[in-house]
Amino acid sequence: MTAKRWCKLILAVLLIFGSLPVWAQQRDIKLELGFAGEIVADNWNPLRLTMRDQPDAELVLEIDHGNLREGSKIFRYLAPLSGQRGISVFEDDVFIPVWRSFSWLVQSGEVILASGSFDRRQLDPRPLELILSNDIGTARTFFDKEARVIEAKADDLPERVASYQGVNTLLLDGSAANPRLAAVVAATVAGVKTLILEPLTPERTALLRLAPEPRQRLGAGWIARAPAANAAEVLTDLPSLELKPLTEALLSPEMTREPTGIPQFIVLLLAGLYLVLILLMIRFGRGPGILAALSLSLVLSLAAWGYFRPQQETLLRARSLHLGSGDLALTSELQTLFRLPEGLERLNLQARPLDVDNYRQSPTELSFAMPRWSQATLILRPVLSNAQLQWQGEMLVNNSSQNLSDVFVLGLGPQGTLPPGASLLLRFSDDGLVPALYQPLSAALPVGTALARRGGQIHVALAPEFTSLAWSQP
Amino acid sequence: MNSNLLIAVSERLRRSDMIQLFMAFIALLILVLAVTWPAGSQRVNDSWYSLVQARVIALVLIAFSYGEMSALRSRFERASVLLALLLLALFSLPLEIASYAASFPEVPLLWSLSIVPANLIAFFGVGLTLGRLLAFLRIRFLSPLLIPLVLLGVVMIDSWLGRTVFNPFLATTTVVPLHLIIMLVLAAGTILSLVWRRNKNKEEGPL
Repeated sequence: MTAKRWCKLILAVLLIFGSLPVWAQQRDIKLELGFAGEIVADNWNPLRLTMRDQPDAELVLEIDHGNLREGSKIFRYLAPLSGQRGISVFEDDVFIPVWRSFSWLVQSGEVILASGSFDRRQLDPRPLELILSNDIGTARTFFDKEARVIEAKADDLPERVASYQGVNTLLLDGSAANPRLAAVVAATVAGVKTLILEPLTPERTALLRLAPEPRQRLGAGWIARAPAANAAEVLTDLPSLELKPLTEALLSPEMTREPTGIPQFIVLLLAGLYLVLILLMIRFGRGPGILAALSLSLVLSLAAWGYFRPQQETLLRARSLHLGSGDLALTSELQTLFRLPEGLERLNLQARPLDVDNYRQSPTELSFAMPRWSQATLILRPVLSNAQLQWQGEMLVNNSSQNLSDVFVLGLGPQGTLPPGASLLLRFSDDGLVPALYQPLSAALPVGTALARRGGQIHVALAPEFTSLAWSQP
Repeated sequence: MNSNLLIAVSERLRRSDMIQLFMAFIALLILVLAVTWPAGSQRVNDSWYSLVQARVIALVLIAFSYGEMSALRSRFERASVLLALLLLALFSLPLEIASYAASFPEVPLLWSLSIVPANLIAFFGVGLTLGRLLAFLRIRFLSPLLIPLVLLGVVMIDSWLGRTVFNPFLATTTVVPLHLIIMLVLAAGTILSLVWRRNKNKEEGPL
C-alpha cells in the first residue's frame, strides 16, 4: 500500500469516527410529528420530542406557509426543552399549515443538537384512518383505496383532543396493545369515528365500557362496536360532522365589525364652536383675550385627548362553540382582535391566526405584529370540556350553574330559557325560524340537535341517535 | 413675555390680515377634518395624516411669507410677528390632538408636537434671510415668485438626495431625526437673530 493510499485510509477512518458523536447525538433526539410520521396539513397535529442525556435546549419549527403570489409567510414554533440525564419527553399540539418549506432544529445555546426538514412531497391534507391492529391487511379493506390508512401504536395516541383534528377514524380490534381509555375518549370527543371490532378477548373488554350500545355519540364523534364483517358498513353509516366549517361559521358580521368612533358631525360642530370662540377672544379681548385663548387651546387639547382617544386600544371579541354529546363536549373558540395602534400582540393561548402572515407560537403564548387599525381572527386550539347542555332520554338538561337562553331544537323550534339544573320537556313550536345566531350552524347539524346560548357561548347537544324528520313532528 | 410684546402680539393678531389668515387656516383644517374623518361605512380613521400635512404646509408657507415680509422691519416687530404665528399654530393644536387621538398613527405624539413649531420658526428665519438677500439685490418684487420656488427647491433637493432631509411635508408623518436637527438649528439661529442685540441695533425697542 502506497503512502497516498495510507493517507486516504487514515482520513476516511478519521471522518467516520469524527462524525460518530454528531450521529449519536442526532439519534438521541427524536422528533415525531403527526401519527406514525404522517402529518395532516392544515390541521392540528401531535408533536413529541424525545431526548436522551441532553442539556436544556430549545425546539424551533420554522414553516414557510406563503405562496408564489404573496411571498414568504413564516410561522415559528418555539418550545423550551428541559434536559436531564436519561430520557425526557416533550409533547404538544402544533397547527401545521400547508407549507412551502418546513424545517426544525433543536439547539442548546449556539450549538445545534439536531435538525431536519419535511419535504413538500410529504404534504397531504387528507384525514387519517388510524388502525390499532396486528392484522393491518384485513383492516385496510374497510376503507377506500384512496384513504390514508395508518397503522398506529397504542402509545402514540395522545390524550389531547386537538391531536385528532386530522383523524377521521380510529379502528381497534383488540389484537394490538390496548390504548389508554382516555386517549380513545379524547379521539372520539374530537370528532373521530371510533370502531371497536368484536369479539374482543376477555383482557381487552375494558374498551367496551366506552361503548355500552352498538353505537353512540360522545362529544363530537361516534363510538361503535361491530363484528369485523360489518365494519365497512358501520363506518359508512356513521355520519361525520364537518367541524372546521362549524367553527368558522362563528365568524359573524358582529365579530368582525370595526369599532365606531366619535361621529363626524360632532367633530365639525366642536371645531366650529372653537373657531368662533377663539376669534371672539382675539378680536375683542386684547392682551388678556390672547392669554385666555392660549389657555383655552391648551385646556381643549387635553380635553380632546381624553374625549377622542378610545378607552380600549385593543378590542377582543370571542365566541365559542361547545359541541357535546353525553357528558363531554368539544370546545372550539374563535376570537377576533381589533387593534388600533400598531404593535406586537402577545396572547397567552394556542391558536391558528386566519389572516396573519408571520407569527410565533410557544406552548403558552402566541405573538404577532399588527399594523394600526387592523384585525386578526384566531381559531383557538380545541379543548375538551364538560357538556353543559345535554340530552337525557327525551329531556334536555342544563348541567351548568347559569341560565341557558334561546334554546332551540332543530326540527322542533324554540324552547325558551333553560334554568341551571333544570330539564326541559320538548314541545313543538310553530315559530320554527332558526335564530340568526344559529343559522350558519344549523345547516351542518343533524335534525334533533339542541342549541342554546350564554353570552358568546353556543352550547350544542347533538342529536343522541339517528333522528329522522318524523321524530320532530308534534 | 413682557407686556409691551404681549400688546404688540395682540395688536398684530387683531389686524385684519392676521384675522383673515387665522380664519382661513382653521377653516382649512376643519375642511380637511370634514373630508377625512370617518363617516358612513368607513371606519378607519386616517384623518391625522391629512390634517397634520395641511397644517404644516399652511404654517410653513405663512411663516416663510411673513418672514420675508418682515425682513426689513425692526427686531421687535419681527419678534411680535413670529410670536403671533406661533400662537396661530398653538390655536390649531386641539384639532391636531383630536385627530391624533382618534387616528393612532405610527408617529409618536411628541414628534408631532415638536416638528410643527420647529419648522415654523426655521422657515420664518429662512424667510427673513431671503427677504434681506432680495432687498440687498434690489429684487424684492420677485418675492411672490421666489417663496414657492424656494419651497419647491427644498422638495426637489430631497427628491435628488433620495431621502427626507429638508422637506417638511414628508417629515411630519414619519420620524426623521436629521430633519428635526436641521430645523432646530435653523430655529435656534432665527431666535438668536431676534434676541441677540448688537451695538448698532441698540436703538431698537426692548424685546
